[in-house]
Amino acid sequence: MAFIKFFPSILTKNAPDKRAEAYRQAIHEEAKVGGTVFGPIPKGVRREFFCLDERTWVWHEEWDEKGKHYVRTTRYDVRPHGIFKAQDNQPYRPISREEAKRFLVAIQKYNDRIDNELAPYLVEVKSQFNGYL
Amino acid sequence: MLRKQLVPVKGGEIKGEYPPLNTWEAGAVAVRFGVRHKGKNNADWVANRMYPGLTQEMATRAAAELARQEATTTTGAIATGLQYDEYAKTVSAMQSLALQTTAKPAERVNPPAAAAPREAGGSREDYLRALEAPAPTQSAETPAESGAVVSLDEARARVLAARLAAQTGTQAPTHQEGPDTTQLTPDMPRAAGF
Repeated sequence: MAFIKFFPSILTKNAPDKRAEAYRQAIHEEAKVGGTVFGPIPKGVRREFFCLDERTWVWHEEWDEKGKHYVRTTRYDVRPHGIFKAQDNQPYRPISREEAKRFLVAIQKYNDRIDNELAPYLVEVKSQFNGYL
Repeated sequence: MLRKQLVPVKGGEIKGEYPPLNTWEAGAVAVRFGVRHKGKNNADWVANRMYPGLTQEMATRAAAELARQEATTTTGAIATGLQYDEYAKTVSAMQSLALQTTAKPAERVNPPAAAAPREAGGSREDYLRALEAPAPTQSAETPAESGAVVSLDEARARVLAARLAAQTGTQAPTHQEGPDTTQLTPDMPRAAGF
């Protein structure tokens, strides 16, 4: 099986470890797909966008400029009274209306693309989990 | 895990395949599906609470954009090869032109008073008198010159007038001389020759 290279240590771990490893790998793959929702990724740039959990979204970007390596991580927290953003360990602040619009559009595209990628799997998984999805 | 794998098969052909998932991977896909979609719903709900009407505005804009794209592709491009806006302008201009070229001459050469006595229940004499009365001279152009369309009543009246003229030796009326027949009343003096 070709995909086993992504899970080299699964066969040697116990059940909780295997579950956690598969979950991390799924997020990692989703993050790569999520990075493309903002358009083509420039050469030399690593961009990822993903849903960490039901209330947290992360946009991570790394690039080199003038021989220096830059990393920027933006974290969006969806709280009951608003959506707050923290960038590079700066304090949280509420996002503007325009940013909220762009954020929702990015989330929509992210979900659409991943569902599209996973379409054959989702059919199989739905049958396995007896309508869990 | 997520992406379709490209697998070479016999004959050098490359075929796209989705490798099967093991139990853990299938479980991760299932759980992540729920997390992602719940995360989206949460974000939608909170954003709409933070900025009321935000999601409605986005949905309206998306629907309008979709409708515009569909109109462009189905109406504009298929019908004429033009963009929708250009198509609408062209149609409007053509309609205006059509009204200008047909309505104006018809108004000039089709005076309603010519058939008025008959429509009003007048006698045969009134009708013939109306036929013999000269038409109004609102335009220097003759109907033939202007290419105007003449109504059926007008055509019948002209033929009848020509026959009467041939029988009585009078000149058939034209539309280029005489008083305005719109002012014709039963009290006007009877035209000569009948």
